[in-house]
Amino acid sequence: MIRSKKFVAAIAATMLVVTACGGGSDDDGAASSDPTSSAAEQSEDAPTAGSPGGTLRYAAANEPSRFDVHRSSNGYDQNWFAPVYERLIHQTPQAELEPGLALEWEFTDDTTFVMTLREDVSFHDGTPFNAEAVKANIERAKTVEGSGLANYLASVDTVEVLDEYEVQFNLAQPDATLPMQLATRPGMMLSPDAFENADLDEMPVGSGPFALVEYSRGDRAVYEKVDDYWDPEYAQVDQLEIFYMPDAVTRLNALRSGQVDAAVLEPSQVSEAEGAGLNVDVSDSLEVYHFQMDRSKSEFGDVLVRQALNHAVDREAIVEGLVFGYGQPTTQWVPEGSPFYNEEFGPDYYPYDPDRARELLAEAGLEDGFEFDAMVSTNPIYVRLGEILKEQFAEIGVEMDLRQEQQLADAFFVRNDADAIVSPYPGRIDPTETAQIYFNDESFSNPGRQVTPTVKDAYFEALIPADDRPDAVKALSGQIVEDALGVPMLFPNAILASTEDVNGLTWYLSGHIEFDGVTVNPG
Amino acid sequence: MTSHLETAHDSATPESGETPEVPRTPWSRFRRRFRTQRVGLISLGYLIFVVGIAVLAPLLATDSPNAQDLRAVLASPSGEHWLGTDDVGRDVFSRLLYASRTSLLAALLAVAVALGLGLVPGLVAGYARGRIDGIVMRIADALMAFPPLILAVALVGVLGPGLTNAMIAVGIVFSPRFLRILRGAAMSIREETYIEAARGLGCSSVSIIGRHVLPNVLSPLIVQISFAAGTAMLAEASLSFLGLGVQPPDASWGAMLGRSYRFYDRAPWVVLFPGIAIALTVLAFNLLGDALRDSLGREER
Repeated sequence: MIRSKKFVAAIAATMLVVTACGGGSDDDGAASSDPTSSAAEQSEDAPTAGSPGGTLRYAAANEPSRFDVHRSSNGYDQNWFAPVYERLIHQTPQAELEPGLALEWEFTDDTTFVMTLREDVSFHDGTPFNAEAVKANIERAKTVEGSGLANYLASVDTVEVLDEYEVQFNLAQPDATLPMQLATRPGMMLSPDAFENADLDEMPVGSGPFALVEYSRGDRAVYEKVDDYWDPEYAQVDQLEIFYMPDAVTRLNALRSGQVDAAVLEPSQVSEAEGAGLNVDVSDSLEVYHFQMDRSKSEFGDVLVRQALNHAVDREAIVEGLVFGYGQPTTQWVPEGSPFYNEEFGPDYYPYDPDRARELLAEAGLEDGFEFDAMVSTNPIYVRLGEILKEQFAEIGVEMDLRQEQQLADAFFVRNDADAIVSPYPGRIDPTETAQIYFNDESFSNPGRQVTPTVKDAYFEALIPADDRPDAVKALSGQIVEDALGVPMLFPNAILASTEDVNGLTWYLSGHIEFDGVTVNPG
Repeated sequence: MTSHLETAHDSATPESGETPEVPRTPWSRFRRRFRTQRVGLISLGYLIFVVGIAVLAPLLATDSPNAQDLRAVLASPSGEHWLGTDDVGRDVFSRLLYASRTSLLAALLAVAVALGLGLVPGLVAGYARGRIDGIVMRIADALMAFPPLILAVALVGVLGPGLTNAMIAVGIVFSPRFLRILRGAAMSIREETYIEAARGLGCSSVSIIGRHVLPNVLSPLIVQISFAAGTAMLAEASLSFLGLGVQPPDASWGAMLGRSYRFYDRAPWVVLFPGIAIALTVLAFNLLGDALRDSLGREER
């Protein structure tokens, strides 16, 4: 199969980048811990390392909600933030944690988290970075009006400055996901002197390898390399331009015409991009396409019904038909290979079996099926998925009335406009975070606020930062599948295409892109 | 229609209406003129053909329009799928047939709404003039000041997406066009002597508008309906292209085009056939409109 060949190549390319970047960081465990990296290096023609300098132009599919990181409301904003905002903790493309602004971190007990910070770092406006800056950032993220991050930091009660470069988080309840959170937007540090800047939504002040110099909404952001960034290997290009191009056809055309050097594409475009002589990387991603129910509505409160729906979807066929084989079927919210993957709940845990589904419905007293209404965003790939589901649910006598909705999140999470949605989820490496987002009775993204007691117990178990935590998290991951809280269907691959002048570009498992060590040869 | 035209003829040319046996009714005059319009005849024939397809879709279709085969998406045209399959493995030929229903119905609905909203105010404004005319026309001007598609998108935003709402929105957007044409026609007709005569005989305004003005504005109205049907079909295609029109899995030609243009490289047929259908049908409505304009109305020598 074509897919698997590309898949190997993508892993190999990913490994090369990790190896290349490892030298620059304090901890190159990411490169050495992976047994395949040396093999990959030998088997694959190592791309000739490009020379530093030049401008890299990348086309993104999403635009940032705003550049004020604390008020950012979209997980996909991270692509635009990563160059300019340095995070407390970095992550490798495989979503392993690495030192960033914090050199070390640990839980001293279940509810106390201590970090030792990097010294001699200053923000782009000259403000020094220290424990006070961390405290100010976390406090603003939790309290600023219109905060998009408060939800992720809900467990943090207070932040204490122990000394200039040591900071302590006092938690209201155990939260082992905190380090992972601090490797994403909640860990991005904004200069405290810029908190009151009127133009913060357009002009961020961070301490990252690049500084934003120009931003025009709906069009592009221009970043310039800063000279005194602590990792000299990170920024190889002098200038970085990220373009916002929501339409995949536009992105590919821009790439073909030389308007950009790299772009994220859709599975249907792989053959066209390859035919045009572009380098196409097919990478694994944590993103999940799923069917999300409001379990307080329609017949979704009944586990038998939810299990029936899980049996009604033909995941293999969906992978083939929807993403042309560029994806993996799943019943779990983390992919195989994740440290938290529960082997007992493989992709075949709910095999495609309409007869079994009808039996389960009959058991639930719904021999004649039922009807509900669902929404899907206007993005064509999700509309297609919606149509596919409608057809497959109809097979077991369940009628889904589907309509398109421009502002899907508002319509479902805020206004509760429908019984269910068909949507993508950017994904998390740790199912505890997924549970926090979707399967917790306080979650914003759980519109019915309904959850099974079994999952709730497993969730609290998984929050405790204990040594045997991975087992607790696996148990949680399995419990979510067993209780059929949703219908996850597949992990679509991320498709990244670039011209042959670009070296080192890699997709991060967590669903974003960074420009760590990327070079571009002047065309 | 025929009787109205006859009335029109009678009223418009009273001197010829005096003769007891009418050698040339307006209908026969129209037929005589229209027969010479080859392009118009072809367009009419094509539109009748499309309507026939829409009516007979269930008999003609080779497959259910919504039956998916995820293991054969974007398959090329073959004996099994005459026009190939689309992006979830549905038969393009069968969908195209069923989609003609949606597209025609959409055009019909939009024109009906536009006519419903424009007819009475247009006639009244044109006939009454004065303050009523001023008020009606300012409202129409306000509607026309917006770019049509933007206004339609905004209206759908308020009404909610869906074919019916989208076509109501298009109808609202089109209504000033009908209104202005009717007003203009009514304004010129009200100065005719037979209207004055009717007024002199003591007919009420309502009866004059209904019995004398309306029949005489039918010619420009019919022409405008044909043009508007084509434009409405195009507007439906645009709105469905944007996801505001027909909702999945139902298809209209515009919706088929909107979702498939991104697969053009892999499967040109998913774009080509609905595109051809829209282009030909809109063209036919317009050419028919031209031919009707040339065939209706008074003889001016």
